[in-house]
Amino acid sequence: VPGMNSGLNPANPIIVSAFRSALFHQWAIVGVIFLLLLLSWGATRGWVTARTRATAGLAATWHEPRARRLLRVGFGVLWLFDGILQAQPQMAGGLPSQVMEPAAASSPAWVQHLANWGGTIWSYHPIQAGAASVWIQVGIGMWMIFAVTGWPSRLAGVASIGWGLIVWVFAEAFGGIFAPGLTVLFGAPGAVLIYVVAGALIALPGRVWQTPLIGRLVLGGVGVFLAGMALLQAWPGRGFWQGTVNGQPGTLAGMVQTMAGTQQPHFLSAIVSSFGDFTAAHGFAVNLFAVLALAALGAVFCMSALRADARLARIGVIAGAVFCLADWVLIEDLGFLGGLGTDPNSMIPLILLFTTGWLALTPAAQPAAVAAPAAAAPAPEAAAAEPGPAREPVPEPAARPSPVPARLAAARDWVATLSGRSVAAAGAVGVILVGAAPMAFASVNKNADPIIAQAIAGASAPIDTPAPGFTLTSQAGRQVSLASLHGKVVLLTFLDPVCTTDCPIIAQEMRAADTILGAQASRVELVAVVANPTYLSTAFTQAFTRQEGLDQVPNWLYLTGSLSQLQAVWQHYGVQVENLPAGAMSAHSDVAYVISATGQLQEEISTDPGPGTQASQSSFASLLSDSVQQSIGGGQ
Amino acid sequence: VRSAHSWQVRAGLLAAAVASACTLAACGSSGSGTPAGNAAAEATPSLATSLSTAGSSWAVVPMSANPAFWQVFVRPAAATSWQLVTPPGVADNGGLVAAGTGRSLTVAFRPSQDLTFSPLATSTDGGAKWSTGLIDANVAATPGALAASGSQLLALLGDGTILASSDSGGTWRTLAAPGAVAGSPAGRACGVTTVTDVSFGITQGEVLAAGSCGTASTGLFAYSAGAWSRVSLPVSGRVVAMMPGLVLVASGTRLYAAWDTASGWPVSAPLPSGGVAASGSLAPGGAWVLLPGRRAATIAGPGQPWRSLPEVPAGTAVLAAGPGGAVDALAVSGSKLTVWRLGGTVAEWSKIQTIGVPIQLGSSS
Repeated sequence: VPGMNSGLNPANPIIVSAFRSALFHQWAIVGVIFLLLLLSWGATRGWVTARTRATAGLAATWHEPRARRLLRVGFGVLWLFDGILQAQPQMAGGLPSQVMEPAAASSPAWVQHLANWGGTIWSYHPIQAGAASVWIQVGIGMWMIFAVTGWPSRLAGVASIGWGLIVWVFAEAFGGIFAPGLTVLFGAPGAVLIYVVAGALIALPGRVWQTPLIGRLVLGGVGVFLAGMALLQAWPGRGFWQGTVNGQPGTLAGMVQTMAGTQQPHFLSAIVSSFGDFTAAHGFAVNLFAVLALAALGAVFCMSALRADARLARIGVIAGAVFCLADWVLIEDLGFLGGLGTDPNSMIPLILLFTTGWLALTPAAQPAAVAAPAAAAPAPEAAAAEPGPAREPVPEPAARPSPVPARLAAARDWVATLSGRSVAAAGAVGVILVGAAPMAFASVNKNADPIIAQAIAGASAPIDTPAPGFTLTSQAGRQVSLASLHGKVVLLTFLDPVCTTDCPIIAQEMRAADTILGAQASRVELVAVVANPTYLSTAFTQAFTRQEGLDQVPNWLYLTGSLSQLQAVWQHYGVQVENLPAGAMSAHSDVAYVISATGQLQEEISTDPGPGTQASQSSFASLLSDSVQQSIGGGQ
Repeated sequence: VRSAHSWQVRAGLLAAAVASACTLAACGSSGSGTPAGNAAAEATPSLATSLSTAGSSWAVVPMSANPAFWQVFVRPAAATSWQLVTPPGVADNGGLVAAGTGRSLTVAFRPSQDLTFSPLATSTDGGAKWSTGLIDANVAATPGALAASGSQLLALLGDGTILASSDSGGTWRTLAAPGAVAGSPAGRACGVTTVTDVSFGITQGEVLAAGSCGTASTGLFAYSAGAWSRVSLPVSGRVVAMMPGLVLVASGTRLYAAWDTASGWPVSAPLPSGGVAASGSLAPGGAWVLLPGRRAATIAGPGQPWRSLPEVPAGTAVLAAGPGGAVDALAVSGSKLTVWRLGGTVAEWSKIQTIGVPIQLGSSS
């Protein structure tokens, strides 16, 4: 997919180091947030009034059904786990090329372009995006775990839906539902879609969980899904019935053997590899078993939903858990080991989902609300209303006159009545913001982060010496000396006019840097000196200038001269230029210098464009414009 | 889920929800270059070719692969061995197109990757030194895209434009704009769709252009006095190659050579061909063709029969004129060129030379 990734090695030490650093700093901020919340909460708890205590005691009488609790905590833990996996060192630099691109590779072009759009944005700001994904997922997980009841808990479900859909569309390429080879055994239609379903269930009002209806809906939905997947698995012509095709592993065996080849503990790869061999040898039997198992599970769940039969559902849950765990180990290979694994795949979420359905068939009765003694009577609708955030009974405060206004006191009392879980849930929202805010700010900037350029070419070197002078001929045939450019910041580089790769890219990066500079560009001269010992006439500098559209850039100069003149400039600026044999282009150093308005060399920047991707070019443009702006700002 | 599969990927994409759309851009593409052996079924021969000038035999050969690095080899008339003389300074992965006249050879670099124009290199001393020139556009991907006669040069561009130079490539003027041949009365009558080759005729200042008029009709046109006229050939078919004074015409599975002479266009006897993988000139009026299945044939000139050669050595990219009327086969294996020779009454190819070419893999792609 063109343009998606930065072209960087995911293990690039500069990117990895910056990612770690960002996570460390944001971790510190998260710690401060929780500390402040705890201090605020602790300080206000002592001031709680008797009336608030009574209200708290009443509100705490709503008991969360066990089905919802399983769903909420289970998927909260999964989001937490996914967030931790997202913190793997290579994730920032590698997710677009190692995860998103392969995910979309076999999907239709429109899916690839959608994934490419997301991947490009990630590649432009890999550190912020990588850190954001960590904290957003950790935050959603904490939010779901700690927000037990009421609108905070329901909002956690909504957050799970929103983020899950983003991940499903952009990173999972719709879970591959538009690609060939769809099979539930490998996680179709995407584990994160189950997270979305779970989020939707958690977002439902609490009263919905007090009837068997939700259990029937969940079990019925899972049943229909599994029956459909059985049909798809049995569909002829999709390659699942053959263990081998023309001596090569069939669809299922090939998938399993690919998984076995990824980095993981030996005992696990041995198990998976053995199953892959078994599948290759007995492809028909394995698929027959899978089809029958899926169909049977689908039928059991559908029947239990129709009859609201908890006993039948329990049988289905046990059988389904066995089947799913076997699939998780033998086919999905746990899902998260090796490479850039980001979650444990679909089987664990699926188990959580249908177990929730079973538990929801038999909701426990809600205990009656008990008003606290010696308290003012609460409003009658309080007990029947949507349960609010969980609160704990608090100790009786010492009676004293209130020195604060009534509204502030009410807010203080409200805070004081919050449970520790509610405070933690509020902190979880803060965690999400810690990750999301920097990415949101970064994504407003349409230019890529300069760190990509630094990762490709290395850090620039500050210098402070007089720039060696020269007098050469511009593309227009005019004599230009460096001294004549004093008063302007000069961005000087060396380009081969008949170069096929790096030089056109560098020229476009300079042009983009000029655009970034905007009005400041009038104080800057973009200067290139020919770096080819053979093709050095103005005919070539003119052709190159036209080729790159630089004839529209008023502050662009492409200078050349005789070979001896050029060799002198190359030598003064430490630029190596030589012709290579046998059809190769001329070799030369990719370097740029920032020369101050007073003619001082200020910075040497390696401009080797590396992969020349959209993100890396934008990053180099940012780097160059930043350096020039610093020189302008320095006023030298 | 690990990256080896693409199902369950957890990715942070807040930006997808908050950032504005980005335009997509593709990076450079690799240059073309089809080895002769793979081009048997193609409509046009490979750029691999050879030609003879007054002082030397020249060969243009692709070496290595993905991408190919094109090389120029020369065998001075008095020498028995070949040497590498590829003009330096430009990446030639896009292919080379060459034309010779007198003692000089001009080579045009086809653009590749981000280069969009065609630098030129001209040598008058057997490839020892090269001077530079420029065509500020992309030369067409056909061995007949460049022609030379004295200081006159013709260049066919990728968009069908025909350029002419009367100062050895120092300056260029447009002889025919895109569609000019097709739009002429002669072109319309033929139904020309594309121009594939250019050459000089034997008449002073005459320009020849070959065009595609479908598979059955020969589209050869002469430009004179500001107008294009169709050249009548005694054989119908598709022009597969045009060399100085000679065209090769494929008619069904048969191949004909037709010569531009003062008395008309005599045609050779047919050669069963089944496609032409590569072709070139041997000496004035002579030609060679590489055919599918390692077959090859030569023809010496008007009135001469086709001579079928023994099976050419594996990897043969081009044939070329050897010393004393011999035929050389230049075979490529990676970065090694092996020269085989078929001479005199010997009925087998003899290996006479191996040249290791210092290809700088990764230097330009």
